[in-house]
Amino acid sequence: MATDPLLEAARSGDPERFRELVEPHLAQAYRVAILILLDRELARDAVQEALIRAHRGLRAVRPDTSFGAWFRRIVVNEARRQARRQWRQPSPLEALPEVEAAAEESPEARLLAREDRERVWTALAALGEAHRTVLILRYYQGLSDSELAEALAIPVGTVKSRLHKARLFLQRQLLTGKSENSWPNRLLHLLPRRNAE
Amino acid sequence: MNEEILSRELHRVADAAPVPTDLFPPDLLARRARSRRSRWIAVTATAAAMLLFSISPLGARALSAVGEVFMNLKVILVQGEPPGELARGPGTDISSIQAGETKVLELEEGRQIYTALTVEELLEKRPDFPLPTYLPPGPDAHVVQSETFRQDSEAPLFSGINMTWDSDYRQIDYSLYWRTEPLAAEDLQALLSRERIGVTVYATGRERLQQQEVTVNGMKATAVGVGYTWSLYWVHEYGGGSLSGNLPLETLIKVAESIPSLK
Repeated sequence: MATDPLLEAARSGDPERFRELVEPHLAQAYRVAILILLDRELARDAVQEALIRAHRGLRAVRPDTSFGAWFRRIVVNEARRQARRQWRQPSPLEALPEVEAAAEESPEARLLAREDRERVWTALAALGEAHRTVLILRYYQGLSDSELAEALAIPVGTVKSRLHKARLFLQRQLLTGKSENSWPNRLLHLLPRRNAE
Repeated sequence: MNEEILSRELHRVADAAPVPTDLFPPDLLARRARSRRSRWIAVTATAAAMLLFSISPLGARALSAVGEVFMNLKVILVQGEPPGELARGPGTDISSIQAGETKVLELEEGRQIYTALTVEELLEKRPDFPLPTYLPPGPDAHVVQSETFRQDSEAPLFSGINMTWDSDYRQIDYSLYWRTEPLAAEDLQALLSRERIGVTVYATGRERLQQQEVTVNGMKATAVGVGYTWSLYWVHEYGGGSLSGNLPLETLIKVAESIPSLK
């Protein structure tokens, strides 16, 4: 398969060609990172770290691989790596942008919708990063099982199992409306807290 | 869970997030590959040293030869998070220390001093430092030396080196720490059991725990945990170390086997 000329130019070390190569993928990369990390600042860090890694590792892009998919894999890995270093459960309700409800909705409908949304995000935040990531890549990026397996470097069977567990967890959380007693939270109590810097 | 609602909600929020205009600043590639935001990394050298520090009354002076630390090596392989992060003793943001910089962390019972080096400087100071030859650190590896002192001592109780580097885009983290005096057998046993407990608690919370026997250069070892990040961790009476990375276990073992002192 012929190599993308832009990729070839970027590989030669030209930073401007690298910018051209990566720019079309930046917005999506940032948004996926936000969803995994539930934090805009951390998402920015993850994407920037991923950019540096991608620039260094350009030679590893195989001709039969899409650059976008390869870069997304780096971003996802970097976001997950950062997520694993966050020992507090993220607070998406503070970190994510509030989107105005449609003007035609009644105040009651808006309130209900807001409560539902809060429960969705609270449940997503309570989910471990590995399970949250498969949900995001499936329902935000629309990846198939095999694409998910490739993106996360895990077997397809593990993808299916994680998706199943993640959906089940969300369902339970949304039905009970409580995430305080979820297993990730219970576990956190068992672990020593990291020191504040 | 209605999948359409989930998909719509993810799009609603993520697509509304404004993309920062400086997401890819012009000088980014020239910067050190470290996050601008302060990040905390409890390296194994620190955390394991602090565990030993907390259970051992021994004072120590620095080792003259790093190779000595590999006496009576015992290897525990862990799949999951790096044990240094599990142990989570006091630590500092070593990733933000630039080459030539030093940071001092004051502790209740002592202090830790971190100094960042280049690989070249490390090899000048310690020409015999055992580096892997498979997926080895490049010249841009981030290397931090740490020394842990008791409050009443000028000589380090422990010394350590932590380094991280990229192979492809996968980060590899390698730490060694060493001490002069051997650890008492009961303290070593206590440390090993504490590490195992730490690993078990964490891995159990994430997913079902798995365990398997593996071999590194003829030494039997146990793989524990889940996840796709593997860590190889060893502790012995003169110190220990760790090697971790987002790599298949077989690849990580190859890296470990290429470390001269592990042969």
